[in-house]
Amino acid sequence: MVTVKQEIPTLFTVMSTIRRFLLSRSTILALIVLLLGAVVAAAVFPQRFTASPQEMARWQEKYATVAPWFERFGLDHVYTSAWFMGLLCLFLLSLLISLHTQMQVAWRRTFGPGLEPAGQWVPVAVSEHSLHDAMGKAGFLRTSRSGAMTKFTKNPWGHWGNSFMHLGFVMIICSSLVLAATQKMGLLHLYEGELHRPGDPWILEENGFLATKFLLPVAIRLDKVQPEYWDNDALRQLSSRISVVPFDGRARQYALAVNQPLNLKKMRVYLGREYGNAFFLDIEDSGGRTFPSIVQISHPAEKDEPSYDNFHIEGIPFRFKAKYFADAQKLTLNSSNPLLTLRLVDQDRVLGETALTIGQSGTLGPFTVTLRAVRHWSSLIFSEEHGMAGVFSGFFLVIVGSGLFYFFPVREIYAKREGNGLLIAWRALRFSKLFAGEFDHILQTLGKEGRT
Amino acid sequence: MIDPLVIDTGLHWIAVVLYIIATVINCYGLVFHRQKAERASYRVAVAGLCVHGAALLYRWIVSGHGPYIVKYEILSSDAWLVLFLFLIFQRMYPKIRFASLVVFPATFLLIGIGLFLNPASRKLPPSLRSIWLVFHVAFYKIALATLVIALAISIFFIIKKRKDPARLKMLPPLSDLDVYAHRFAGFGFIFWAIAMLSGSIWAYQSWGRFWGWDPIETWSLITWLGFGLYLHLRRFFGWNGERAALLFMACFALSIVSLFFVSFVDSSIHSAYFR
Repeated sequence: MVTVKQEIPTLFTVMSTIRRFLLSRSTILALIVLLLGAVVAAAVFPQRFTASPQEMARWQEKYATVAPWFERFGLDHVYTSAWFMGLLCLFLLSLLISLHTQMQVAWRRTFGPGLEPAGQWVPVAVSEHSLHDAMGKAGFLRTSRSGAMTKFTKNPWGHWGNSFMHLGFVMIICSSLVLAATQKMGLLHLYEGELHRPGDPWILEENGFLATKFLLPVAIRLDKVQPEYWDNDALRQLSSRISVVPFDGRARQYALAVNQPLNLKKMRVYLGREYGNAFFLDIEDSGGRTFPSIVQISHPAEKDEPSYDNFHIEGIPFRFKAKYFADAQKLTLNSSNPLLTLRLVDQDRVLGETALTIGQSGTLGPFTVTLRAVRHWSSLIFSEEHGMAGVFSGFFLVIVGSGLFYFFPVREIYAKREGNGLLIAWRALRFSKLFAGEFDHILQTLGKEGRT
Repeated sequence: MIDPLVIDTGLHWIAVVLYIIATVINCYGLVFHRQKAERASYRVAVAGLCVHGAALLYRWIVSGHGPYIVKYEILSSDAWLVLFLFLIFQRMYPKIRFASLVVFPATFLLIGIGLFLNPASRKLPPSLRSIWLVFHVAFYKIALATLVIALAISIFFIIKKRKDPARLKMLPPLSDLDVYAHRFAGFGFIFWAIAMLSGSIWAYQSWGRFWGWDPIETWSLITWLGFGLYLHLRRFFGWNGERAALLFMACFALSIVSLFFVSFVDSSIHSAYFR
């Protein structure tokens, strides 16, 4: 009878198997292909975070048969789906293990004795000292010496390209995860003179899954919005002044512009590209009830074309449709005298229409509307994040790494003593065909004795 | 006073004529092994490059911004950089001189397409006023230039492999072509990465996000990953020769889609670009 002894795998063998699996070229290739596939899927299918709910509904209606599968696999939110997170973690783990291996390899190749080249050994009639000098002039550094063998390397830093690249990818992924988990962003649309206090609601708030509610540490007031235009009415620059109003009430003013953010108490404040006019309306019904309202509408793009918006006012059961020209005379975009036209609509029925400039009143169905004042408004984005420096450093390292790899191909020259003379051999670790003439050139410089 | 647009397009037409002459002489020189003619074609191409460069500089001064927005200026500056970098690279690697058979015609074709589109300049919106945008655009152009050279090498690799090699003596051996294609694809990969990095810094500077999954951003990442896959397959899976050349051509097509077509398909933060 034959007894079969089954070996119980130890923790070490299990770990080794996992390590081998994660370092396998096929695994890495599969991970790259899967990540590429995920990004393509997110680019092709509508995503919840970019498409509006209406667009999503339209897509689901159009592709009703595949839509349930689409949702089941999280293809409508690829980057926040569990499978994508798993893929990313696997990729990160593979990169980390690979980074460790790559660094060991780079260290060994840079400072170790290296492998004896399989190519030709050529005798040269020079002293070791002269060889040193000649190598130095040709850009080769002596990187190791063991026994009778000396190794000279051109671009030894080229060995570190892969390590830098891997480290860069690890930093980008880790920092992006930190950023996604902790970032706080808030959007405000403020009109000139409006104060936003800590705890007031945002127009839009986006917080990472580990972030607490985003509260401003101080009150912010928008003092002035300053649009500037080119002679063809295209927007030239949008700038603003905001005041930080601490609890003691002593305000301090700061300047902001598109592309010129402000660092403020661990936050960054951006001036958004959206701006327009805020119309201060007094709406009075036939019973004498007033509905003071402030309506913010985006700025028109042309002086002879209006911009449009629809809005509701609490307590009034009808819809308001608004359009406005930047200038009542349609002569300029930068005017303090805009023309606002309001239409009151019940379902599809128009109840009334009136056009107003500042100080004017008009009748709108059962209401009297007065345009009391007009001020500019603009959007402000507040952001508090950790990890951005890691993302950019990671990007930088990927570029440095790939640059070292492709721009600094490593070449090595080995020299060993034989009898009274020296034998030298050359090899390139990459793109050897491109440097085929290099060895001949070195031999010429040394004054070769003849090839073996 | 002469309309600046007339001067601009006039200079471009002169450059096109010079490039066409250079292409004809270059083809003659390479096909019939006339080194004198080939050398002359480079002199004409350099003359064209000077006129073309003057046209771009003039437009930059008149419009007040670099070639970032209008199709005409983007294609023209791409063409200029493709030729300029090719002239530098062919001095560093003389074996790639045959790539002029693709680079020279590509140059005048790109300008020609631009000239038949609306060349009127547009004013720069405030969000595009950033030094990072200059780097962002410049590195995409450099990446495109190196990829065009790699494309030329890949095309000639396939031609030489499939046709009678004796009739294509002007081309280096297949193994050399393969190495050059790999090297230039690597350059393209690096410059594409730098372009994405500078773009993400610009995005962060502009609206507080380094990445917004905007269609152009996403397709740019897909292209970069595609080139990464190509380089990975070459290095670790021994992909070389014809199948590597074909894969590179597919990745190159992807890069053209990302650079010139995605902006038409979807609205994006890059909406001012190439419209």
